[in-house]
Amino acid sequence: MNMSTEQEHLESIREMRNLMERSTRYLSVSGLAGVIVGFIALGGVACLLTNMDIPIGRPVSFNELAAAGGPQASLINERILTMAAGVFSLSLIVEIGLAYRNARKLRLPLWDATARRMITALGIPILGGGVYCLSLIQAGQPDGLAPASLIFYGLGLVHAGRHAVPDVGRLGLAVFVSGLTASFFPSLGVYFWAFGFGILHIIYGITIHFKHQR
Amino acid sequence: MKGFIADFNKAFESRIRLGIMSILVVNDAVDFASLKVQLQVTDGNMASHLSALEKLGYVEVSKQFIGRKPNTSYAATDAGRLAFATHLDALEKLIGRRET
Repeated sequence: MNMSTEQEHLESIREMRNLMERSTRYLSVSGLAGVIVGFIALGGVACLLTNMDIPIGRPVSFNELAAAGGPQASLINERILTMAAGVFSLSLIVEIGLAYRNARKLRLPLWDATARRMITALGIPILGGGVYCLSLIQAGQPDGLAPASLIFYGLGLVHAGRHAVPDVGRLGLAVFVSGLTASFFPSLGVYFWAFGFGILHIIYGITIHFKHQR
Repeated sequence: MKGFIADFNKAFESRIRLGIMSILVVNDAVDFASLKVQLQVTDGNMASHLSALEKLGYVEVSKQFIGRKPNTSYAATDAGRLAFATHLDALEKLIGRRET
């Protein structure tokens, strides 16, 4: 057995490993998108607080936010919902746009079986969490919003991480833990939300970007 | 030395076939188009390797319609998984032996 055939064998093993990973995991997730999404979330929170004349940094719970509207509480809830919907849809656009760019760079299809598995894994908890958050508002318990949205989203990411680069799962775990922590500190709800959706995304994005160069 | 070579499976001498098996053992079922994209080979090339693996009983073919479009998907059979694993073991032993 000479050197060149051994090289060939090593090469084909490398290729097989690559194929196994590429065919089961969605690799086009973008680090840059993570960073941008993080800033969008922070921006959304800043907008909301400024909009309601609350100095950034003062402890504020979602209950206080909702109560700040007085008799116009529904208006405030509307603002919270608008902020959440805005952050969510902007983030979605950024994620899809940059995933498209990465997919082209990696010469992989944007939408394939791995993408479908990842989106299903993430989408079901997100939809469930969204409905549950609406029920919290309806029940007049806005304090539950921060922990509930973080916990559902975190678990969704943990699940999705099995079908994408492993970092996604790690982000999920961190988001999940911050959601659980948030449930014990309702007075800091808004800041936990900003931490989970803002800061953690930024850290994750930077990690992905430098680790995988994309 | 002879022992290792005996476990080498002729069916997997082609890199494309190794690629096909790699993808199929970690996925439930994969359609023709996805396989083609992953391995970046032509239709004809892909089809001939797949039919060779099918004849050996390593790959299972199922045809169905998605709407009006025919869709052919492939899955590894138990025999295929076993043959692939044996082949990989042989490769591993060969390389391990050289390193020590």
